[in-house]
Amino acid sequence: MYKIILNLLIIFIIYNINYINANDSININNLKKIPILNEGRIKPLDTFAKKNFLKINKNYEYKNLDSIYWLSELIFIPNKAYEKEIFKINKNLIKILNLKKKNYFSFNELFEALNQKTKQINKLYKLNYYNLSKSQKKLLNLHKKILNYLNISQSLSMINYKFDLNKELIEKLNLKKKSKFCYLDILKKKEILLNNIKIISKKKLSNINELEKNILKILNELSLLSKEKKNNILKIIPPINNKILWYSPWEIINQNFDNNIKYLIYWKKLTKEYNNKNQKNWDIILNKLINLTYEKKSKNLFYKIYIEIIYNKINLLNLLTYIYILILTITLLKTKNVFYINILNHIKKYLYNINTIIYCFIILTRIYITEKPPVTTLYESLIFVGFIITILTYINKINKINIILGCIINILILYISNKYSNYVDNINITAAILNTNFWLTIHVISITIGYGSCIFTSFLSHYHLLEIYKNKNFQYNNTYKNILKILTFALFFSFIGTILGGVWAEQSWGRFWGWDPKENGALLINLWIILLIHGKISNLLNNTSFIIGVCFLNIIIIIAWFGVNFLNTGLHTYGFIKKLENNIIIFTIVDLIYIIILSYIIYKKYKKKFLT
Amino acid sequence: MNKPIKYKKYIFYQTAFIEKENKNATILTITKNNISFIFYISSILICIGLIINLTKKDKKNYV
Repeated sequence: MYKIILNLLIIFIIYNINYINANDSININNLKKIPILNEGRIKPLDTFAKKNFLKINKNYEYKNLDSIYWLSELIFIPNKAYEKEIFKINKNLIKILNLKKKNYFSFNELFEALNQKTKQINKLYKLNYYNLSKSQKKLLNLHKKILNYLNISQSLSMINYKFDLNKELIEKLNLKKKSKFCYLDILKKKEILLNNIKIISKKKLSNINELEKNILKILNELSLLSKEKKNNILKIIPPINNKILWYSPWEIINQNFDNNIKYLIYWKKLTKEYNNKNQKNWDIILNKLINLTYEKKSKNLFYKIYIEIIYNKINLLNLLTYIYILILTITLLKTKNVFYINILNHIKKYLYNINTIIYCFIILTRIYITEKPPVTTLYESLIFVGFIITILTYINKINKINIILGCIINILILYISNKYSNYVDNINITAAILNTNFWLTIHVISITIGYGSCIFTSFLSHYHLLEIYKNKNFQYNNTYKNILKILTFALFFSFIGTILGGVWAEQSWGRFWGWDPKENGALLINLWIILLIHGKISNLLNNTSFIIGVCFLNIIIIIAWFGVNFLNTGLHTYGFIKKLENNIIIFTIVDLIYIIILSYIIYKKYKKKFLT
Repeated sequence: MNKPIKYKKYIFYQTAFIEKENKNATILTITKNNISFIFYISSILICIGLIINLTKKDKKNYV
């Protein structure tokens, strides 16, 4: 055990080497610890930054720096951030927007280009999204991204935007003498300004003096800025009186929460220190702000935020993929030297065990952070299926075939989950149609265990088919028995899961079955396995045709798991399927070709055996 | 959605909703099921069968 822990530590240290701070800005890594309410859960600012940066840059690092550096520049010095070329856009969009070809674009460039297409974009918003062409969808998505970017940049505009006041007005408002003032400074003197308006409104235009003109000018600027008051994307101010809702800085001002203005004052000081690049003061103020934010919160929140930051940083899923690739390479190495074979076998098993521990850690961390079963989104169910398959390889004895299969399936699953999902903030809370934790846990988990075991047994039978094809004097061995065992196991969980879904639906909707696409998918899996097992018991299927039947289970799982989402109807439609369509079709075709060709060759070669 | 109304033997639950400016609507589905016990009985029977199948050591019939 201690060896495994030691190995884990070494991998952790190697993987966790910090980036060298190449920027001239101060070290702002602690800003990550600020909690934010976003997309239904409280997460660290780090996750928010990574997720939003990934949307526009398709990368999660900003000039070899963490994306928190990008976010801080955007909220503290928006005008500087607007000029940074960070937007990565599609080639077609470059043509549509008449832009010069280059890799990255700045916000200003895109904003101007999109402004010229305002009419076209407004029309697109009125149309049904699913009826739009690919380029239209991309244009619309870019517009949404730009608006989102603008919203984030204006989150602290009550601090960033500066007003020029003349001496007279400064004296009139009793402000401290300095050249520029922010909205927050003037807000304190709101009453003086309002009183002045009352006086000015009674006067004739010709009688208004210079000071009053200045007051009107400032009020005009204030009202222009107040358009940004609707901005509530950056909910970083904790709730008052133990309520659940968090507030954005503008919401605090809009709703006159005077008690919470203190948070904004800290943010103002932070902005100042950020601009001055004063590391010492920055750290002091940030620590005070963090302490204030967590003051009335449970310690649990602090731990959660901290763990999520670590989870984001070490990106364990990528690490898992690399180790699986390494194990696969070691397993496929061929040497005749007994000494090397022994060493390689030991390394292989150690690494496999380490990966299983990392997998457990990932699943447990996600449960701890979301407080939900680890199967609430399609992404999570993918990871959970990978985990189930790893566990099955242990139940099925750790041997060469199981390790190879476990590695191949997991690499595939991790590749899909990393490529097609937002792999930075993939801890999402799905608004479950039925938000009941108990039923969600047992129904979805049993269905997912069913999926996992079906995929594993199907891959095992793929291998078995290859074995039959290769060996002339083939005899049905342990692999065949294992396929049977795991298939029965898969049927058990798929069936129980489907029934539990029915009970859940009965309790909530008053009906067991609604012929929803996902329900039909689950039924399809059950019927296919039942068909195979009954065919075997009744001797209507011989061993080889039984194995071929199990091979097809992969395609059925793909249809039931992902395929039904293409229909875009029903209560179970969720997850990421936009970019997956082609890959699923390719996988199905390749799998079909594999099964059909091998079956045909086996049939031709061993006609007698095939038929007995 | 999460809180269906049970009235006599009928169950009212929300299946969809329409959200437009100033006009919101909810779509309810009403169901009545007198024979739900059959579902439970059949499910239990299949589960027993599955457990027997899963725990049976002798799989001579299969091979």
